[in-house]
Amino acid sequence: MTAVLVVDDLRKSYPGRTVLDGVTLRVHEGETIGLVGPNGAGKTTLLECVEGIRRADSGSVTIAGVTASAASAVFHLTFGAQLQESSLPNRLRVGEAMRLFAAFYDEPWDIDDLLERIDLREQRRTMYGKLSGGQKRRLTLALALLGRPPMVLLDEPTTGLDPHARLELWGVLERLTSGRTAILLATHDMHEAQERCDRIYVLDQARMVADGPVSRLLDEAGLVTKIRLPHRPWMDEVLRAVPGWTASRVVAATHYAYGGAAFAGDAAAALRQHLTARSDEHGTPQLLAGITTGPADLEDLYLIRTGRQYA
Amino acid sequence: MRDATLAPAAPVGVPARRSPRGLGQLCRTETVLFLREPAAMFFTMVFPLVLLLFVGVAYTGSDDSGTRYIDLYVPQIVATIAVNLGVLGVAINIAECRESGVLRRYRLAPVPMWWFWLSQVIVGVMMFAVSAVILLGIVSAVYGVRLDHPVSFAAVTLLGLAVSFAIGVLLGNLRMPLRSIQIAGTGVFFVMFLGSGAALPRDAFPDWLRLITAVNPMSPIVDASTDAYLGRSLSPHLVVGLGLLVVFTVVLVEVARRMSHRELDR
Repeated sequence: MTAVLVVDDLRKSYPGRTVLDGVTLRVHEGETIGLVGPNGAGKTTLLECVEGIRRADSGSVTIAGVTASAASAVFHLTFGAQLQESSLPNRLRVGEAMRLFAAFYDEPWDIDDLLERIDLREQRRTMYGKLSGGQKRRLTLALALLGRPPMVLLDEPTTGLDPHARLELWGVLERLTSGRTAILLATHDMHEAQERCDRIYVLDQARMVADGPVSRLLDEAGLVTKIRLPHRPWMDEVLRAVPGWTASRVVAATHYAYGGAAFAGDAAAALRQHLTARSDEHGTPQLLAGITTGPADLEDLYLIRTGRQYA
Repeated sequence: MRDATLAPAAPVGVPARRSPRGLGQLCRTETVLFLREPAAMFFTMVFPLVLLLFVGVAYTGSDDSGTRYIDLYVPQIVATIAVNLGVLGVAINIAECRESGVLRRYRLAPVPMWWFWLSQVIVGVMMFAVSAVILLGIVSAVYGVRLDHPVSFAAVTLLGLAVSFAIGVLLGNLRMPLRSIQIAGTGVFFVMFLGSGAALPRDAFPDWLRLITAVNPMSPIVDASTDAYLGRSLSPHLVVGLGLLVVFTVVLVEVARRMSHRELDR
């Protein structure tokens, strides 16, 4: 597959703080790639360096064969972007915004067709400031796609949207991109990333700490099964005796224990045996009633890899 | 994950070409946005006429040299339009665009950023011309226009507009919240308006204040445009003042350009 976006050894720092420390990534034709990481990990900085609206200290960015050091107007033809913090003038009508941005391209998407696809035909004469949050996102997404770019960069496009608006936005994205369009999606929504993305990059403390398809990452990290149970101070000691256990995290007196393939089978039963012994000893039989088992997901990987826990 | 069979074809690897039509569309859009902004419209189109009404009603006579007061005030009101548009209009518009993220959206467009700045200048010059023509039209109908040296008058007022725009662009690019820019812009406007002779003749100032206000960038503009309007020749020291103003404007534009460029290094 052809790499549409090539980022090599990107570095960016401010006095006393490194934001990107040698970040490298590839997005191929037709791939939807998720970029996840805690707040302040450098996701937005990375996207802005890729978009050319923030200057990196070193490293290189190439999209569809055009390097970011080329004349920026030419470089900006290679991608469409939806920024986390960007807007349009409140008094600009939907149709006017479409006409303005369409005029920047020689062969833009047909405006009527695009308005139809993003379900804003009725709002053609509505001013941007009067649109709902979901309508604004759909409009800015459509503006990003007006030039039919080979690469689409999305920075938390569904944050703050209700589930209906979220689904509509993804529907629009599916309708407006082909199977060959490459998409890089920065998001805090792990379920969205797992559901929508072919591969994931996990960015933490300025570095990429994991990348690959979610299932492979979970497998490699030994995070196949998740067992949730009430926490006790001696829980780690018990879990180490259970075959296949790989990691644990504790949030608000709840213990999340993870394990690989070996953990999936009889782990719960083995754990019950161990806990029965400890429960008898410590007089806490209610422990057994609190055990639930299920598959681990990207959110678990994220929380384990980035060392962050739920608040 | 996407189902490729549902999606329409979009080319990959060969991005669309940039169209030169964009600059014209950008100017049209900026014009429409200007016309929809009540404050900008009031201060550009209505405020000068309000000034004219007060001046026309209050000062109907002539000074000791026989020059009508209205002829002294018309060039000053024209200069006021320029200061309004540049120092208040441009500064606040840029700060608003920066704060709301509109500038970032334009930065992502496949057009050079100078298109945006040029569209601001084109729309500003256009609105200035419309406002000045309306003002002179009304003055002509009611009092009669003197305008003895129209070319010099136009050149000097355009220089005034350029200075105001440069100050406005610089203010708009300061890393300050919109509210602070509005306050700073209003302060600069009143200093330039009151201290240049546009509101009160500088001849009426005490010596020390006349000396201080001589460095007001609008002072040579007001003096020179009044002279051009009344058909007087420009004094050598005024010509030097205008020359220095050209240099000052170029320096301000360069500083504003660098400040805008520094946005990339955030």
